[in-house]
Amino acid sequence: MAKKKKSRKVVKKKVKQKLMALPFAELMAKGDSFVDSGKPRDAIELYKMAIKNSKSTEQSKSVHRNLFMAYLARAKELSDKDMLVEAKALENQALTYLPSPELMDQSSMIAFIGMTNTRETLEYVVKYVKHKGADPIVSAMIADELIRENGWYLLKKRHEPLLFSRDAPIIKKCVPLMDKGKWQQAADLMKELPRTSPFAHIRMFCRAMASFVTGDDKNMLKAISFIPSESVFKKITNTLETSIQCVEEKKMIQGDKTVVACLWEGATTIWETAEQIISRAEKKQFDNKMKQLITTFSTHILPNDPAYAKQYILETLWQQNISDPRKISAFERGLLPKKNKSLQAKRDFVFPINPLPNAMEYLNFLKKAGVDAHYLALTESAIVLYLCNHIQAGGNHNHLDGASDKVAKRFGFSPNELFHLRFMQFVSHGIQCDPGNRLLYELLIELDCTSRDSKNLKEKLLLSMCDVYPDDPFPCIELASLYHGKNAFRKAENILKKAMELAPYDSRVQDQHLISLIISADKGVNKNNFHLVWKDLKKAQKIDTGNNGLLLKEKELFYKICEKPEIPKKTIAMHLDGLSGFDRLKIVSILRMDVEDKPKQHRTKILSKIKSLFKNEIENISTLSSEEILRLLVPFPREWQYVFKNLHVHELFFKTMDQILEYLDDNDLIKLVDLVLAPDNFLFFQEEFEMRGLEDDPENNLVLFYSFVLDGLAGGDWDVEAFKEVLEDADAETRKKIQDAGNKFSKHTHGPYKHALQTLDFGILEKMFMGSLFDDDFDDDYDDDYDDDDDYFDDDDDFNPLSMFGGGDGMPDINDLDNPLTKSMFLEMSKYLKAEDPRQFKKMFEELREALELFIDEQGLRGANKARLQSLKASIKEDRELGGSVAMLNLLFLKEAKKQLSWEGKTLFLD
Amino acid sequence: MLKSYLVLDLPLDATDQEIRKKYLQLVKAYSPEKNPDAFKEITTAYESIKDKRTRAATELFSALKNMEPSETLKTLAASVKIKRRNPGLQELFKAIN
Repeated sequence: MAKKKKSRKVVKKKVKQKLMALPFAELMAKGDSFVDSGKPRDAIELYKMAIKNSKSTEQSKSVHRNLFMAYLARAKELSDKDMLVEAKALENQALTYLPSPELMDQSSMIAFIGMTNTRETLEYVVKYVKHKGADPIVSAMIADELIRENGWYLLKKRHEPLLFSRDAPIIKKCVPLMDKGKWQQAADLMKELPRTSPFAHIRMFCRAMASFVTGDDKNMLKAISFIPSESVFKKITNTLETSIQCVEEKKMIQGDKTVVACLWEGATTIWETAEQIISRAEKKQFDNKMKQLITTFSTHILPNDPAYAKQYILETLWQQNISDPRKISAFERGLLPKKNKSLQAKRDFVFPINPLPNAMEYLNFLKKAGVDAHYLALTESAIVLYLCNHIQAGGNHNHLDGASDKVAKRFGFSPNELFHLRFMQFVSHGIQCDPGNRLLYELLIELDCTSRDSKNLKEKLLLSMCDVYPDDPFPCIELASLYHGKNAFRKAENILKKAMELAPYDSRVQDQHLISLIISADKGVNKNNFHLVWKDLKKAQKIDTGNNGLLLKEKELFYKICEKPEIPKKTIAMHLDGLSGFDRLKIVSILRMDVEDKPKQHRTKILSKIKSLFKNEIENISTLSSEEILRLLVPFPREWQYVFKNLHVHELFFKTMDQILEYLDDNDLIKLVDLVLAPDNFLFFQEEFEMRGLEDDPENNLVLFYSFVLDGLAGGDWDVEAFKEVLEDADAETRKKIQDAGNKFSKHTHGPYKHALQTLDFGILEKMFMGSLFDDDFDDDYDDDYDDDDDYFDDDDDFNPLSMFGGGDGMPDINDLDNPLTKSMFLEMSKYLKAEDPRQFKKMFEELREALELFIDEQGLRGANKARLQSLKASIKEDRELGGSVAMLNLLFLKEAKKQLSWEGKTLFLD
Repeated sequence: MLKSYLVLDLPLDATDQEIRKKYLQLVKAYSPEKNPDAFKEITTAYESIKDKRTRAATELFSALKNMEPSETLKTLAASVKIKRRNPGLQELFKAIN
């Protein structure tokens, strides 16, 4: 190392010697080039060599200016690096090379002014002007210094060529006005100054300030443009210019912060505060500093109600931090101690974790807070709408299924009814809270009614909608459709008449009228009354808006076949001549669906003919485009629900043709899955996606995602690694599509699978099935945990009975058992264990039972009366460790516990 | 909801009429042709607080609507009113020293 250093020194010395040998002119040229390339330190060295090599004093003096400038450049470099002391030292050194004034130019003068005191500068400038003539920039800078340092007394007779003495009296009068902010008066006084005055730019500054204060930005900018960039006032006006623009554009204020604080009043640093909050939120730094920042920010944006602003900001941060509710809850507790509980309740129904009880709690908080009754009702209705959408979108039936009696009563549904009726009752409750909530009515209309009760409830609500929206034909149309479903044709006709009166040219009304006529014609077929059938059909054809053209064509053919069942297949096929491939297949598929449940007479004969016709037609499917095939497979419109028993025409195609999905491109296939996926076709779709994902297009991450999910849904493995890979490989756009798909798929599953699909966090499945749950050394771990300790509940470590399920990293805390996801996760694991390893399952229960019975014995509770045992029940549940065991007993081993626990155990521990 | 009130420069207890009046004033000042972004912001703000029903829903689900906290906080910051001061010359000189 030392050797290397030494050799470097030798090289350096040699280079120096070589340079020293260069002539003066060459050294100067090299020095200049170093200055130009931003290397003042090297330039200084070369200039110094040039002085040594200079042949005369004159030559030596000529280097001084260059050396002076090089020192200043280096001083600036250091001061930019915040090495202010070193920079000052270099400035002082520069002054030792200060050339005589005649050698200075404007740029050197500008650099020089300000380095020394005004007195010295003034003398130097006088000499400079003598040689070079008047220099307005240099004069302006001297004028600045005179004002800044109040240096009027320095002005002597010999300074007259600089014109300071001439104009100084006016400026002296103006300074007190400027100090008081009387900018306009000062500017007016300075009107006498000629344009050539060294103080002229100060008048412009006064005008700029006066315009700024009065908000006349246009004139302000004009005045600023006359101030030379070298003037000290420019430092102020630069900030003035940028800050005006930022304030105008509502952006973070740029410019010198101290000057900004002088020019503007109010929260000039609000943007910085906002940025700090954002940055801390991104880093999840919910600490005291963050509290302070939010408090400051809230006070600035809403001084009258900072608490409200704080709440709003907290809610804004929820979305990003929802994965860590405890942390955010603790933070909220510190920031808004009084509102913490209501915020938590709100968060837990907005980002639904147990949404109904939390919504109920939140509404109670609002009521207690004195929110007016009408607003409260509107809020409740909005909550119902939100939760209905959530339940429907994710198939989250458990929110209603698992509701307690208290919650069910609060939200107006009967806990013992079937889901669809309960759901409708929930919707009805929302409508009762706010009869003007149109979105809830629209949701209601989409609901299928299968039971009489649900039909009656829907009728009641639709009638109420007719009252709320008396000019709208929409509820009338829906009511007509509902009456058709109830076989109440007269009522349907009457309400349709009302709809036609309200909106005779509304296509929805005409379409519903057409459907009504078709239903009537279908009834005529069953009654063998073809006279009426043709009459209805003719009427229907007359009012067709074009939306039901193919249905009408099919019906015409269908009625002909029903009227003359002996009509040969060939003749039926002839009716389709001239139609496009798509229309033919569509009509035949509708026909095929029609003959499933109609007609009552000659059904078998007709059915066999149509089946054969459908088979023939489907053979031509390859001639259709992917988009046309998709249109064939999508379910019939909802408006046809009382014309056909089943709207799912795809089932017919799937049954008839195994390879039909091959004709769809990836996009259409995905669209179809989104529309018709159901448990009975999981496997059908899965096979197609598997083939496409793994063989045809292994790069298509969306297709691979569908393939892996369908594999899991169809009973195969949930391949966690494969999911992770797909997500890693997907670009942002595909990831968004995967997220949407995950949400849609989540409807078809439950518990941790649903959660994984909704959040795309498949790690949770890994924890369940790939962790230590089924490790071979389970017995050993278990024995170590429970046998070595004499006292099961006296373990010093935090006891987590759920660790019996493996207890690996990432296992939820026992307190999380209230969380439906954790609960369902353990239920799933327990079910799996019970099926896969019943011996182990039994052993786990036995260990738990023994521990709990031991507790009864040790506490002297054996033989205690029921009242005493029940009085202890609540405190046992609250006990951190024992409560967890009891919760697990009730959750996972209830059936076993009911049979095998002692009487005391059942009384004490079971719910 | 707060964001909407601040965008429209209205107090939190503004009535439906006041909200509508302010909205009309602002859309007049920020026409969609000249200020499309401002117009969109004003209209969105108005749509979310125009009547009691929408206010109830907006109040409930602001956490879902404000998907980008940084955007929301910036909008809130933009609503803060900053006034021009009239400093004296010495104050300004002190600031640049």
